[in-house]
Amino acid sequence: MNYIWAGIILVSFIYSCAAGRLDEFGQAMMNSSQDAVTFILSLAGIMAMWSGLMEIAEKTGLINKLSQVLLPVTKLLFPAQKDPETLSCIIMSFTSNIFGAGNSSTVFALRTMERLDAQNHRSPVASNDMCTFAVVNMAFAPIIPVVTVQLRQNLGSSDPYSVVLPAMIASWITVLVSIIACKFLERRF
Amino acid sequence: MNQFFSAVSAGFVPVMAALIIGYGIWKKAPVYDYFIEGAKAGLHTAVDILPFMIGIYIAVNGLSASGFLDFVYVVLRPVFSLLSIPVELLPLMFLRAISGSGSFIILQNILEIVGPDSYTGRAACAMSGGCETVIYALALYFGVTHVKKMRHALAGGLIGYFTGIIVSLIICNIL
Repeated sequence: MNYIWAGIILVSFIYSCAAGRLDEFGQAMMNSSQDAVTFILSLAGIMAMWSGLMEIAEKTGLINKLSQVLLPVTKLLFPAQKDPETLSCIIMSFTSNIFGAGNSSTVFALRTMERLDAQNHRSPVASNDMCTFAVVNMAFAPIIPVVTVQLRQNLGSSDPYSVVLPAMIASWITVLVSIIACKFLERRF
Repeated sequence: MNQFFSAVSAGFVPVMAALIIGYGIWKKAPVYDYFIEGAKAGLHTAVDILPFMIGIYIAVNGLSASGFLDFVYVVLRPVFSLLSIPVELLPLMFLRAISGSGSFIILQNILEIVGPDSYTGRAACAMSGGCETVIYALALYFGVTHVKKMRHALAGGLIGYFTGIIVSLIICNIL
C-alpha cells in the first residue's frame, strides 16, 4: 500500500508539473481531504445505526441462528472460521451487497475486517480469511443495478433492463473467478 | 418492473431493522440499551477509518486532476482499436477501479455520446454493474486492520476486476 499510494501521488505530481496543471492538482488534494470527511460523516450515521441493530441481534442470539442456517455456504469459503459473529458479519455484508445496500455492506465489511484482524492477533500480515473476504466481497454486485437502469431510462433507452442479465452474469463469473483465484493465490503468497 | 426492484432495494434496511428489533422485544431484551451500545462502537469505527479515507481520496482525486489519465488513454488508444474494443470505454475501465461516483459520471457521459442501446453503451452499463471499486475498497477494508502486507488481496481483486471487464465485453456481444 505504501508504494501504491506514494506512486499515485508522485506520478500525479510529476505529470501535473509537466502538463502545467499543478494548480488543479493542488486544489484537488485540498478539496478531496475535505470530501473524505464529508463522506465519512455521511456514512457515520448509517454505521452507528447498523452497529446498534447488530448489537441487538448479537445479544439476543439472532445472529447465532442466522449463521447456523447459512453455515454450509460459508464453510466453503472460510473453512477455518468458527466464530458465529464474524460469520454473520460476512453473511450480512454479502447479502446487503446483493440487495444493493452499498453503504450497509461497507459497514459490515469493516466490522468483518476488524474481527478478522483480532483473530489474526493484529498481525501486520493479512490472513487467508481476510484476503478471501475482501476479494469476494468486492466481486459481489447488486442483483439489480437500480441506478444504472434509471440512468438508461432517463436517456431514452428502448429497453433499460437489457443490461440486467449481462451485468448479473458478469458479476457472478467475477465472483467465481475471484474465489478460485484466492484459493490458488493463498498458497503462493 | 423497476418499481418492484427499487422496492426490494429500499425495503432491505427497514425489513432487517424491524426483524431484529421485533426478535429482541420478543426475547424481552433491553433493545434500546443494546442499540446505543452498538451505535457507540460504530461511530468509533467511522472515526478510525477517516485518516485512510483522506489518504485515498487525495491520491485518487489528485490523479484525475493531474491529467495523467488522459495521457494513459492516448497511449492505450491504439491497443484498443487493435483489439476492436470501443475506446470510449477506456476511462470507465480505469476509474471504475478507484472511484464509484467518479465512474458513474463517466458512464453517464458515455451513454450520452453513444446512446444507451448501442453495444458500447450496454457494455459500459454491464461493466459498472459487474465491477467494483477495487483499489478504494481495499484501502478502506485494510484501513481498519493492522495489516501492512495484504498478500494476495490486491492480485485477487484485480483478477476479479479484469474478469468483470472482459466478461462484460463478451457477454454484450452475445446477448
